Amino acid sequence: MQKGKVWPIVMSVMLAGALVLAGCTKGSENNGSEQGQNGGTGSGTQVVNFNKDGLPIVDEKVTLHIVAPKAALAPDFGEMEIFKRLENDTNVHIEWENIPDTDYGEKKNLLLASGNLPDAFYNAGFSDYELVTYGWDGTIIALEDLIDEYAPNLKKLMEERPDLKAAITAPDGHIYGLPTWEENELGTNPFFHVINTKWLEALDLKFPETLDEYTEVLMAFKNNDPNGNGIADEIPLSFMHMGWCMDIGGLFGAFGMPDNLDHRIVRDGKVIFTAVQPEYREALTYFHEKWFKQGLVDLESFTQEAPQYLAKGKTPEVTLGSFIWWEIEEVVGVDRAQDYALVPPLIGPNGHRTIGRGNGGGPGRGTFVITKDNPHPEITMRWIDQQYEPYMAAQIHWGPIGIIYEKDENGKLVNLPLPEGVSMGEYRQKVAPNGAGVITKEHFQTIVDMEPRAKQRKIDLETYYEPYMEPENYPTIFFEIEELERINRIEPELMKYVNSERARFLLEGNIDKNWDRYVQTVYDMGLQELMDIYQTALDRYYASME
Amino acid sequence: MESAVDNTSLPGNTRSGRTWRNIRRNYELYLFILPVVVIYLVFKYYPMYGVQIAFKNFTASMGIWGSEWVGFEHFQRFFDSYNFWSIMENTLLLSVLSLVFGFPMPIIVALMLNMVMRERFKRFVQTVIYAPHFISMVVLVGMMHVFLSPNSGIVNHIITFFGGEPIMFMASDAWFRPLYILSGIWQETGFSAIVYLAALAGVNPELHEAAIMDGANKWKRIFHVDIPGIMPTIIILLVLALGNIMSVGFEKAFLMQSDLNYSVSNIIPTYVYEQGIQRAQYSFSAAVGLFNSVINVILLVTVNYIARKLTENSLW
Amino acid sequence: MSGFMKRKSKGDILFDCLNYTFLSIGTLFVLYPLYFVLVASISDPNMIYSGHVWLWPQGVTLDGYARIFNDKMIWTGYMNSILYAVVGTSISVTLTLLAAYPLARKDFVGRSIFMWFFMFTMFFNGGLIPTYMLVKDLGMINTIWALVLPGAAGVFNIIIVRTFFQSTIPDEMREAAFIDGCTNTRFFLYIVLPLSKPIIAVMALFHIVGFWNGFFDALIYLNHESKYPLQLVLRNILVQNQVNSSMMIDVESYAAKLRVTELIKYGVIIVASLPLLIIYPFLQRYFVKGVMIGSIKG
Repeated sequence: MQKGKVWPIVMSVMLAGALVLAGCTKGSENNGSEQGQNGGTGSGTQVVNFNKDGLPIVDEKVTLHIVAPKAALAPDFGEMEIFKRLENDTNVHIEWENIPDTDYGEKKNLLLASGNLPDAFYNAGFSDYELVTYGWDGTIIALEDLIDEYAPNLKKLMEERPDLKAAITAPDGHIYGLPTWEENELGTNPFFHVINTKWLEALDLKFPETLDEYTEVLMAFKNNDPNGNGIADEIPLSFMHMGWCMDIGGLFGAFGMPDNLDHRIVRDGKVIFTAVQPEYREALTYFHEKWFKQGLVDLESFTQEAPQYLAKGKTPEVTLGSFIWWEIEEVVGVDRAQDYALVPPLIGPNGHRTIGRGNGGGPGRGTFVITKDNPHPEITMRWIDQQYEPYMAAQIHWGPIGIIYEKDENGKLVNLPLPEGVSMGEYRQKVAPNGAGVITKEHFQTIVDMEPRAKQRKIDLETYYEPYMEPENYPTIFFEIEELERINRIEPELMKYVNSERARFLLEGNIDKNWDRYVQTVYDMGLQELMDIYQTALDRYYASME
Repeated sequence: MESAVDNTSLPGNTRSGRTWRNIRRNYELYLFILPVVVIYLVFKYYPMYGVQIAFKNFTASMGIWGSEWVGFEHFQRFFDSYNFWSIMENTLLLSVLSLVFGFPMPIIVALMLNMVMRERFKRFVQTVIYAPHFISMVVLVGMMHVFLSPNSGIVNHIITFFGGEPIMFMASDAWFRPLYILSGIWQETGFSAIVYLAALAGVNPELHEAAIMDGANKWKRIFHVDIPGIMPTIIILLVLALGNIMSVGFEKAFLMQSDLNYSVSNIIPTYVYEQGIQRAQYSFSAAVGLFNSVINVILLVTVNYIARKLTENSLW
Repeated sequence: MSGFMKRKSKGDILFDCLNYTFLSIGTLFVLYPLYFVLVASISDPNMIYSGHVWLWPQGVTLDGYARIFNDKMIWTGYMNSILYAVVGTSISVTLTLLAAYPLARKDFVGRSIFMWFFMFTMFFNGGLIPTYMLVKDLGMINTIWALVLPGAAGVFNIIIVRTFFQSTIPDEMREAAFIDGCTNTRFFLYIVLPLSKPIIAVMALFHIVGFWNGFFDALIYLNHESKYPLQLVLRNILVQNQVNSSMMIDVESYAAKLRVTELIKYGVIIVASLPLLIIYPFLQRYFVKGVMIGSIKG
């Protein structure tokens, strides 16, 4: 039996080895043969009656095969009104391969990995990393020359807005992906702090302006039964730790330095990591001593997900005193919305009053890529350029004229009333592919009107937050591959550590005891290198703007 | 199983002679096993060249063969990660503890159910306890949030009713492992008991009859008839479980993770996931997967050897 | 026969008492969360989160189920799942039995080699990409074969069946049959299989459950919604109702979507699992004690 044991092991190792080697000699890469198939033959090798400008783009119909994700409620893109109109105008037929957006990520990777390339990806969702990697190895082609010759709309946009050009240009100087953007500046402060004004009235409290006043309000909410039902069921403050619009990072501004999800802000062109600064420490200490220790904060703030959080505003008895979210109605419902109000940044013990400016906010730049297997890149470029004409861009994002919009006397697109019982969000999915096109803030003045909710938010931002907002933020910078790699190596674990320590400090305190050790650990994990990368990239970005 | 007559000295009865005779005589058995062998060769062995991804920097357009060879770089990166030991420890502890507490449960339940005489009760119980297997992980963890909420959860209501303080179950690192293991037991015991029930059904009823005639009560019958009868199944499943010790699932730990329990909930699959958020990290996750597999194999061979020495059951 | 079974000693009475008690308590513990899922699937999610739902549904609504069944893909999903389960189970269970039996025979030369051949694949595999490319090259993308063939006759199942054969089919039986002139095939078909009803039932169950619950293979290999099995359809409904920061501008539907997600989260489980819960009792009678009576007489 012992011999019987050794032999099989040896055999199977040899077998496996043999198979690997056999695979070796088999050699030929799928990519190679695929390329031969797609590239040369198929949809016409010659450029048939291609018009360099004007419409139609080609005199005889040409077909392009494009892969795109589609939202749940959307029909196949070939059925969409806006694309039908586009095909009529351009005479370019698109064979859409629509993948449900839930599965798109995985399928896209498989297509790329197995060499099964379409002519282009639309609403492609290519990350910076993917753009530079696939651009560098040639899977997707460089576009700047094509833009120069065949994309007048996009070219004009880039001349008007050099920051747009800088945003989509990769560190190696090439453009690999086209932009999509709605420059509505609604995300400059995602943390809207909201308070229950009805309770303030009931307890005869004045609206808090300083942090200490707010703390007193929280105490009152907890102890004085503002909802009048005799039970101490009030939650003075609830939030979601490190949630994108629900964290208390904005409140840290009362100590002179606001916090955000990246723990990264910019002042005077210098990148600062907030989570090791003295202001951050002060904030943590205050919050722990004055709020968490006193039981004024919902303990589930560290574990709850959005549905659970949002349910708290809609309990049968009103129980929510204050919270952080993108806007009021979603949390407490339409009926109670008037009982709540936005809180401008609070004044801290030392007189500071700032709110952070959200990082990023620039255009998405990986929304359209042309693959190396595309036989008609110039036709493709002309086709996609149509979607950068401002009116077309608006329609691509929100819906066609006649269905969603009509032109008013100034030529501006204004919203038509929606059909009965239909919500904008759902309707938009059905009629708007939203895969390309840039609407700048100038366009929002002249070309297309913002939705009412969006307008309201802009007003809120201007009234409550703009006056106190940090002037600089960290833009969406295009990093180089090595930078991305190094960031990816350091950041995930470092951030996890910082975030879990933040939760622990808030909840359990012991800040003075552990602060130095904590800071040392963060530096040991590579903070300095990380910040150097961010700084170098920022400097490079500013330099390219001049 | 030897036949009654000793043939060993007869001519033509040499070892290789017997071997060839067995092969010829059992040719049908080889035909039986052939289709599966073919499927494995095609679908499992042929793609094995993909294992090299772990040693390369896989990029899609270069394909697997063309991608750059980097040797052990990915493994090195894994070992060098700041939390490497904590991740390993968390993974192993979770897996071993799940095994220690979770492995005996289905066996016990199967033995108990097997002794139930009332058909309707038995069928009802079996259907009920097998149902949790079908609850998705998302719902399972969602229910945990609801039941264990410090504000409104039923468990904490009971605790405060008896005068205690509400416990932040989902945030606490002390509770992470117990909750993980207990929910696993809740979910999988009924389904896993099925194999043991089938094995018990295969136990020769005459053995039970004989035991009863000898005056054994149910306790004794369990220990002397049932358990020995299913011992091979138990051993085999135990060996397999140990040989998969590094393969902890991603989903439950990921869903149960929060900033406060990170120090214990950070396990290998969630770590790989985090690392891969920026890009499709095929190579890195392949490397880590290979590392897991190697450990599993070593464990499996060891445990199987022990099983073979101590009992007569083993995988090979 | 039954006379023997009815005689109970004191030990037996105590045993039964404890047995029934523990099993009942255990069943209740398991039952409550299941019941909760049922009740939650028709309750207002806000009520669920505020802890008001524990015995009866609150804020009763059928919106969740409406949303699920409105999706016409549900019915194709059901059909597809049944098809995949039936075809896949038939193929795989047959192959598993065929492969496990020789491995259970001590006189099967090369037993260890074959065992290792199979086991090796448990630990080392090429991964998703080469397998995907292979399936593509074989022209199986978007067909049922991609779901049914590559994973057929898994090692774990082969081992379980082999162990069962080893425990329940004694060698004497086979030797006796051979002396009577029985071939391997006849022995297998007419003696081994009938005695293996318990394990066949278990294998059938495992496979049906596996196919029914699986969605990952379908996700990877199937391209058209009309071929999606039930779980994939349900998962997509669930995922597409989830919200992320990029949707913030569509603020109106955000809360509505979340609410629907929560509702269908529970409803989806009921819809998907009901068939499996129904067939279980039918299969279960096969792996119950008593099947073997009268079948073994050497």
